[in-house]
Formats: sequence, C-alpha cells, structure tokens
Amino acid sequence: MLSKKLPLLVMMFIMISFLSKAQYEKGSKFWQVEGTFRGSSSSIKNNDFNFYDAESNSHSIGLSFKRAVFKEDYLAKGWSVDYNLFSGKSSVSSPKNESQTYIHNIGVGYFVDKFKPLSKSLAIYGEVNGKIGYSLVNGSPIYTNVDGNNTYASDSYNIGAGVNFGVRYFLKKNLFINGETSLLNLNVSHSTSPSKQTNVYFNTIMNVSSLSISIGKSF
Amino acid sequence: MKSNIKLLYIFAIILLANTYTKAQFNAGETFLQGSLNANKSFNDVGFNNGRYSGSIDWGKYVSKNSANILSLTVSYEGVNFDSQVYKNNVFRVGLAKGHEYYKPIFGKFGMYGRIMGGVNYSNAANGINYGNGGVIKSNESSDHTIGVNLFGNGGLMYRLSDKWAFSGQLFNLNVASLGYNWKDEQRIPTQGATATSTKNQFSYNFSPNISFSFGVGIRYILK
Repeated sequence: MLSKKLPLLVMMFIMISFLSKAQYEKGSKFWQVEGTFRGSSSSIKNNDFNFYDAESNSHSIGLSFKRAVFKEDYLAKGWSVDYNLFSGKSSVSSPKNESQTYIHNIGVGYFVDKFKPLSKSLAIYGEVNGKIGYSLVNGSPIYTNVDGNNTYASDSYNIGAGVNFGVRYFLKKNLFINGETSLLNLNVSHSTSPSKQTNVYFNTIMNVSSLSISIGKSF
Repeated sequence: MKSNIKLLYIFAIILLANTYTKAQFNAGETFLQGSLNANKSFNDVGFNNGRYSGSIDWGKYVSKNSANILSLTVSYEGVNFDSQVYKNNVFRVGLAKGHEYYKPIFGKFGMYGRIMGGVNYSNAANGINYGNGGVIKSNESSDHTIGVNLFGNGGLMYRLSDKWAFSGQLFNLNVASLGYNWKDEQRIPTQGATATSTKNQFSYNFSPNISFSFGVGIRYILK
C-alpha cells in the first residue's frame, strides 16, 4: 500500500513545485538575519577560609546578515556579514582580584545558493560560501604580569570556505524562515601576536543533526 | 506509448488522492497522548541504578488544523552505591502549554508542528561518604534549577481510526530559555567544623535551532 503511495507523494511534490517558482525566479532578491544571545551570571559563597568566594559572568552575542539576488531561476548569489562578541568576567575574594576577557569576531563572505522547491512553501537548498574574518582577543588577567602589564591583546586573520545544507519555509508570501547546517568547512587562521601561529581546520558533516534558524524576506 | 499511459494513470490517481485528502481531525475533539519509560538495574557489587520517566499530553482541537495542548513530564534518575557511600538522585518535572498546527497532506497522513511555552524544575541530591580515613568525611550537595523555556517539535501524523492516531516525531525546536540555579553544598571534615558553600547562577539562552529527533507516539481521541 505504502509502495503505491510513495510515488504519488513524489509526483505531488514535483507538481506543486511549479507553483512556487515566483519566490526563486531570476531577479528576485532576499535578505535574512540570524541572532543568538547566551549568558550566565553566578556567585559562590563559602564559610570555609580554604575556599575563596567567587563571582563570574559571561555573555555572548552572535549576529549574521545575508543578502542575495537570483541570477538565474533557483540560483542566488550574494554576500554576508557576521559579528560575534564574547565577554567574560570573573573575580575572587581574599585577595580581591578580577579578570576580564573580550573576544570579537567579524567576517564578510560571498555565497551561492541553489534551491529545489518541494512544495508551494517549502524548499531545500545547497550553499557554497567563502569568508574572510578578523578576530581580536583582549582583556586583563586575574593577576598582574611579571612585567607589570595588566592587559593583553592578540589578533588573528582567517579565511575559509564551506558547503551548507538548508531548508526554507515561507510563512507568508514573502516572509520565510531558514534552517541551515554545515556539511563541510575549511578554515585557515593566522595570528601574529603574541606569537606567529597558523591553524588549519577541516571539518565534514558538522552538527548535521542541528539546524540554526534565521528569518528573512524576499522581494 | 506505454509510458504515456502510465503517466496518465499516475496523474488520475493523484487527482483521486487529492480529493481523498480531507479533514482528519475536527474542532471539539480532545485527545490524550503519553509515554512511559522505566529502567532499573542491580548488581552484586552494591550499585543500583534506576531511570523512570513519563509524559502525558492533553489536547483539544479548536479547528481542523489546530489544537491547544497541555503537557506534563516527570522523570527520576537515581544512582546509589550501598545507599550510605554514594548517591546521585535527580528529579525533574515540567509543565507546558502551547499550540499544535496540523496540515493534511495525503489520505490519512498529515504534518504537525508544535510551539510550547513551559516551566520546569529539577532537583539533584548528591552525596559521597569517604569514611573516617581522610581529611573530608563526607560531601553532600543539593542542586535546584527552575526555568522557563520556549520550544516545540514536529513530524508526521497518521489517523488510524476514529479513536487512534499515530504521531512520528521528526524534529525538536529550541527557541529560548531562562534558568535560575541554586546549590547548597556541605563538606564534613573528619575533624573540625562543617564547611558550607552556596552557589547561585542565572542563565539565559536565545539560540533558535532545529535538531532531528525521531520517535513514535500513540494518540487516543477521547471525543
């Protein structure tokens, strides 16, 4: 029974897909945004002199923006910009000391998306992208350095490329949500301070079981 | 020629199938859906582990495409060694209210998606007794977490009969959460006064994501 229904379902999807061309046709544009906010704040109080009282908090923000134009039907090309900030602070009592860390990451990229509509409102897509980025870490350590310097900073540059898989669902005619995950990623980062170091990362099928969500608009 | 006839045949069946697709749930219908899991293990060394969990959902269709949902989940997980030497028991309870959206796709099949808002509480009690040989005789802690979260899930539904339906969950949706945790710990030394510490933590998370999660549920339609 199921074997009879499956081909019908496939045919239905193919037929319906012809209805959804307008959102993916040549000349159409879209933008999408994604944001994540995480953080925690904690304190520990002890009545035992062997253990310090301590406080810590950390916050992170991630923002991403993409804009693209359909150069052909179902084929969009565009650019992206993203920014991530992490801040962490911790302190201990007796003697009172505190440290602070900030990590900034900024990146810009270019991407190509190829869409395959499955129904009037649902489509899957594959994405190929390239990115360049800059990262800055600065802050103050919990104890002053031997040379008396109580701040530090280091920066690095990175370049990368990746392949993503995504699902797009139109909530209304022009408003959509995206679920996207990385299938393959290559990234090279190079830092010059405090010492020269180059790192190469290559990952396949990363977090394919989890899709990050963004919201967007086509016009 | 033969393939053209086959295509026409498929096309005719699709048209029939489309007309066959109809409302599978009706406004006013109420249902129950639940799960129960129990695992218990013993061994002759003295460890015994137990894990029990259950959930029950009550829902009422307010239209053929949507239902109000109330959900209760309870779980208990315990690891004990000789009851006096080591224990780690965790109890969780959650209550959520939300909405389920339903769309028939073919015959008795449909897609569903839920968005829920909930409150949850967990308590973890941990204890280790080292005996009298060391500096610390025992260490005990009690960890409480209370939170609110916005989440959901979705998948496929199959209406088997008037009274029964199957749901096949395909994904989980996590949107946002707020949590507050407090932990009291006491260390009893072999000699001297008992040391105590208190930890308080507040956390927030807005990181919308979908994760694949597979499961089958049975839904009983009350009316």
